[in-house]
Amino acid sequence: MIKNEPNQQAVELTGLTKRFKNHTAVSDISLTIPAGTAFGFLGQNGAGKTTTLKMLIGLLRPSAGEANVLGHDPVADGLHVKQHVGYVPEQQTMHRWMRVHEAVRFCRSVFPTWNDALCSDLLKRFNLEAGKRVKHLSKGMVVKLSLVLALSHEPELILLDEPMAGLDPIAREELIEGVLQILCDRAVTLVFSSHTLSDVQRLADTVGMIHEGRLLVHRPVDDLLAKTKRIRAVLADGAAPAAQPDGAIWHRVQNREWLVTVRDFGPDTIDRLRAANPVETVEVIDLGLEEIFKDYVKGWRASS
Amino acid sequence: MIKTLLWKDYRQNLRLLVAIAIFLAIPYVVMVVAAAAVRLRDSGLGGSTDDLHVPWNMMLMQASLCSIVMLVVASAFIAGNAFAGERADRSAEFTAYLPIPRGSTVVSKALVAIGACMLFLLVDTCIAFITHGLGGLIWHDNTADPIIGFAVTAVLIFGVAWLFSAISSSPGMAAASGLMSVILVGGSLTLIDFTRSGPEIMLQRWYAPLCLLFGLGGFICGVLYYLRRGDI
Repeated sequence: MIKNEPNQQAVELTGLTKRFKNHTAVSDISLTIPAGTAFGFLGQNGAGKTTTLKMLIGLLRPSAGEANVLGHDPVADGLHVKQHVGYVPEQQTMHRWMRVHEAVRFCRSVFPTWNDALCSDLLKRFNLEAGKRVKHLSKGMVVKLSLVLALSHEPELILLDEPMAGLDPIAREELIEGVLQILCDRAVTLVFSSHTLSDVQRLADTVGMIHEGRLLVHRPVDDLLAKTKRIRAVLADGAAPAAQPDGAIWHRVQNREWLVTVRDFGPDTIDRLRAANPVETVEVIDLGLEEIFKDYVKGWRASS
Repeated sequence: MIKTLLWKDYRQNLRLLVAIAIFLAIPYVVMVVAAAAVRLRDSGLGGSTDDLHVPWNMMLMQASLCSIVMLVVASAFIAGNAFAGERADRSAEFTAYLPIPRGSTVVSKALVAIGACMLFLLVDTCIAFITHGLGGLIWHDNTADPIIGFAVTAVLIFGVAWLFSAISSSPGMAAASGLMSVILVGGSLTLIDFTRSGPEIMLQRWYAPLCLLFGLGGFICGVLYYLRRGDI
């Protein structure tokens, strides 16, 4: 049995790459996710979030690199990993003819660690009727059922792939609260993907921004928000920026206005900027997760 | 676990199996309707029911043989739906992310598919043998030939459809591949017979061995492909 020890890594990716014929969906991703933390994958549609999560659960075989989930290779030790991971896919793939209690019975028979009391509790919490067929459930209810099935075997790692996509605000709130409750009750590791920044900000301790298959940044959310700043400088008449500050993610010059976003804003960043550039006034702007994400994407596009 | 998988695969194929059962019942219905029509016509003419031109048991036996021939075709759809059916409705992903050994999945699918074919065959064969016995019909030396022919054809169709079901996401395409394999094997041998001169008839000599070879080969390759398949 795998147990999360303090400081143990729940997920370790090294140069993880997935190619589909000529298309590279995930390119050289390396990151570690400590056990007991919540990690949010942030990226646009088609960025490679789903492909990465599918490689973590062993549904896809990496083209290059390595994935290590709870100390095991998801391809070589697929069964072992699946027994200790709860996965909620983006597209619900449950057999539509199954009734809720049949889906529960089916999953119960394949997980040795199935917890009946927890399952009943979750079914009650999410108001899922045992006799209803999956095809007669709303999208939100199917996601909730999928979450019940993913959690009832008491996994050590939960993978949620865009769980809130397409849900109405009430179902979304119920689901987020449900997930937060589980995170509080049990010391599990959560890895989820989303392109909704507010969800990431609420749930994640650490965020990974992914774009066109590449991991642009991987940092704790608080650290990212605290240290990523946009500097708005007014350049001297007729002057151009001489040197970008260290850790510049993106910059734009429009007339005399110079906007530059930096990743590690410190007390001396402004002084160094002033010393190296002909600027008249400087203003520091706090950024939200959305703006930070956009600046990372724009910066990556400009550099590539 | 295997019991749950068997239940799941049976339920997954239930609609198809019901459709095939109805399809295989058509010859019996036709025979019953035809017999009733003959009886009505004869009784209308003032004749006795004993004057039937074709006895009941003979008609039932013909219906059962016809149903067995239709089962050979239907086996393509049963095998074709084995893996590709779940891939087509995307439910394959659901079972793929659960801790279910692929070996168990294959065993369950094979038991359901082969079991369904055997069950249908058993019903038809029982009717054929009972009616054959009742009619006092004689078993000739060459009576077994067509039975062997149908049996090996069924093996070929099932095996090839099974292989393509393991590879593709389309149950229809897998079933069509199984049916096409008969045309390919039979057609190729016939073509060889046309183009060469000699006392030996290739179709007669090689059809059954080739059907068994490709059928069993297809089945084994399908199993191995599924077990070793990287992505679902």
